[in-house]
Amino acid sequence: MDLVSFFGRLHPVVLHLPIGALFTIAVAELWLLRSSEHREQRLLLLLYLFAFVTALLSIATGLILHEEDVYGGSTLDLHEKLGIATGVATLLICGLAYLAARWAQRRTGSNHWVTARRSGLVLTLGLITVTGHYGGEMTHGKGFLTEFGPAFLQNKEEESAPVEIEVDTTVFEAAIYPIIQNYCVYCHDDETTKGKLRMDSPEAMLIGGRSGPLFIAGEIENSLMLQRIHLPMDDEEHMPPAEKRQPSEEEIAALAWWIEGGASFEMKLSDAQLPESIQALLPSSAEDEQVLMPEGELNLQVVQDLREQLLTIQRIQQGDDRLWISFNAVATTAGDDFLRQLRPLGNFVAWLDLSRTQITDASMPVIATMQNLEELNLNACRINDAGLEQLSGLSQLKRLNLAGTQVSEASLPVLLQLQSLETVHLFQTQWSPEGAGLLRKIRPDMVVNFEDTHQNEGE
Amino acid sequence: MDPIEEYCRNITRREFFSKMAVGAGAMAFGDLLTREGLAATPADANPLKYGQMGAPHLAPKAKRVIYLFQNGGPSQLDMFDYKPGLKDKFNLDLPDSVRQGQRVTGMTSGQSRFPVAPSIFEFKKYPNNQDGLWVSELYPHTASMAHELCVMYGMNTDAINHVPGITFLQTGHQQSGRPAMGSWMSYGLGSANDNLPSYVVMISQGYGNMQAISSNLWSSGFLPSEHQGINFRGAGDPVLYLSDPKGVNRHDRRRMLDAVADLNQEEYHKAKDDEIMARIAQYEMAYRMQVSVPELTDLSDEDDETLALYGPNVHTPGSYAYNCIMARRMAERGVRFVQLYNRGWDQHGNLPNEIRKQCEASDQPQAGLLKDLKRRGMLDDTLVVWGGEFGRGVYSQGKLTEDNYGRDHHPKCFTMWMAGGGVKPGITYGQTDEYSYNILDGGIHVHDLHATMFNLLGINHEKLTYRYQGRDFRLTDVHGKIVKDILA
Repeated sequence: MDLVSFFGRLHPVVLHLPIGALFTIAVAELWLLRSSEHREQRLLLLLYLFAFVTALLSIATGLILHEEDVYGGSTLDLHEKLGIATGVATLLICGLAYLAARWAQRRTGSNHWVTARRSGLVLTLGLITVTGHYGGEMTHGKGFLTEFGPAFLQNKEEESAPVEIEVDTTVFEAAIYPIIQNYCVYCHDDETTKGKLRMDSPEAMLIGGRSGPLFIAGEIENSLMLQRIHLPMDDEEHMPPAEKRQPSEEEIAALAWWIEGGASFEMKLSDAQLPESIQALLPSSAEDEQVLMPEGELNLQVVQDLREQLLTIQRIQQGDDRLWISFNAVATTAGDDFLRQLRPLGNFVAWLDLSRTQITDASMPVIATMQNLEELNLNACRINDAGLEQLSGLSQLKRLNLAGTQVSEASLPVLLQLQSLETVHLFQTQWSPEGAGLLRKIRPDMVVNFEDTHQNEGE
Repeated sequence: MDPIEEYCRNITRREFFSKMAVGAGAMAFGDLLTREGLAATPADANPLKYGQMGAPHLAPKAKRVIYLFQNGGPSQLDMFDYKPGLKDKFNLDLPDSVRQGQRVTGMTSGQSRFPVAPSIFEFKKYPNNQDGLWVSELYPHTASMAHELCVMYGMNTDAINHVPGITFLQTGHQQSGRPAMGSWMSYGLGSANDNLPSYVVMISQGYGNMQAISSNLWSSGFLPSEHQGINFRGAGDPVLYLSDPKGVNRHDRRRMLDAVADLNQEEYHKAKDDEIMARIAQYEMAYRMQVSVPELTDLSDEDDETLALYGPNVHTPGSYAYNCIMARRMAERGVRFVQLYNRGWDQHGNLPNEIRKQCEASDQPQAGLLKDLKRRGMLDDTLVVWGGEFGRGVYSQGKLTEDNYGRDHHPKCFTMWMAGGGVKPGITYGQTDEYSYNILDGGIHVHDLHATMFNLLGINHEKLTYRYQGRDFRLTDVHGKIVKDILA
């Protein structure tokens, strides 16, 4: 019966008629507050009848839509009951309107039926507002109304507290469910249950929805959840809906990893081999390696000027304001004066490649101000120990390339002061093998690349 | 976007009216307006946006690639994949249980038998960061860098012939027409040196049977053509027509280019063909390369110690040694993708003799390159990749004797190695069976290699796409798994 289904789909159109009619009647009632003329009472009766007929149509189309299984859950039940109640109330006030009109035809004086009718109208208006609200929650998703509303309107309980990690916390609880809670549950819970799918508990997730099971353990390609996530944004079926917030790359990777690994609800965090994508989502690990984002605003005009002088200035990755600056293109000409132009960007420089440039120790004070510097390449620069000494305050420096410079083992104390240093290159410097050996002994965790690192003979 | 829609969007309202206008006066007026519109187009862009991606998807481990492509299919059996057990199987038939009906090329499909040909070369074990790396006597210099190499025994491909094989490794597809890996990188990440192309190709000739290679392999396919690889020639001018003709000085050149650019801009506003903008960009690049390339190719600033690393042929333009040192020079000048092709590995017959010469010519230069990069601290963020388009089979092609044999193509397993750039140093990965015929574990398909290389470069291989002919293309098509085990 396609025609019936088609009729059902008219529900979102038809339902606006009784709403409009009832509010129009309210205006008319106000306008005719003091009138008791029979003609006007009959006009009102006509309007009430119109409201009732359209309400009836809305209820009928709504019931058909329900049969179609598009929606489910407690919100639907509530919406349905309230809708029918609104219909009944409209019928009742129609009756009152009829009595009021008859009274006005026969006699004059105070008309109690009018008072009753007006009270009924107020009640019905309240009912239809609430009904409409739940209807809206179903189509637009829970919390749509208050998303950008004032704080007191927002439902505080929605904000899920970070999961406390304990010995027997499962991977699902710690890393997977928070994603689902964030992006899926507001439409797929017991209240809304879009597509007959609930995702608010493991049991419900296993049942799946109208289009079939939510996922097939171990099969990424055949798991509906991932298929929907991976559809292009402009696809109707894309999930979460295009206008909603979208899961990040890591979160999607985590879901895929979980499904591929058998979609276990029981696997403990302590037993699992967690890939990086999952580890990054765990509440505790966020604090472990916190990247210090530079403060202040990046001066794009300075960047523009430097780029016009053929400097390479890139963000090290998307969504990160820290910069990789390379002098590759200008190495043969760029000297201390050139480097001074980097001052306004100081905080933002994370990787600085000065290899083969003409800079000298005079540039070191500028570099020393780059507090977020992680990687510094001074290969073949005219730098010696006095210059290097000025860099001892670079607390974030991890990789330092001094190959081909004049530094000697007199700079050993400076290297030891650089607490974060992981790799240092000392080829073709004044360092002696003994000096390099000593540095390795004191800092066994540090990779010290020196002349002796690779001399290999086969056997 | 739909090309017609794109074209329509590119036409401004002013242009539309100027085109509709009839009569010379109206045309002239329209032209004035268009010029005014033109002046407003450049600049304004975010100076931090590089390439289509703007910035890498994730912080890159490798900032550049040097890909030492060994064209022809080097024999893994005679160089890296040590199978001592084969000595006892000399001239025995390859068991059907191993071959499993594998298709072979027309060159050996007619052979009545497939006799096992063990390598005649001696292998030595070189210490690495695991329990050692076996390398044959052909590659002593390369083997001495075992502490830096990540040797992958389980490489495998879909192609059994050269052109589809190379095309697959370079573009992710066996048929030509897709963008090369270097083009994808240039398109996605942009250039790290505005004076040089971000994707350079150099070719060196080998000794044996040399297979044709063509510019299809470094073409930008459907990507804008400024991303295609620039082929530096092995003899004469490295880049053709780069030097000014006699009597033309640099100032004249500039004026000429400006005039041509104006004309091209005008044509672009009429035709809206992106290739015109690509052409303008290429002219500008060529102009800057007039200064940067002579500086790049001038080896006089290299000290003797460095030159000695690359062996005696380092001064011969076009040799593998010359190309290797050029690769380093390009890498330190910000060229993102240096693609070397070393031809001549297609040893169907007379393998022992030919591979000796081939290895001798390539061993020291590439080991020298690794050492040189290491000494400058560049190996940490430079990804060096070595390998051919497939391997070679265990059975002899043609007559098998005690000291001579040939080998046909073998796609089911071959050996590649990578070094530097965020790869675990000094390891081997994967394992083949006793005939080096099938992979036992640690298989890496070509798509997986691409995904892994892109990951090291900070590119999510699933995200760098280009919409063409109605679908989003990417280097790895719908495949590619990152080989996490080899990431440092």
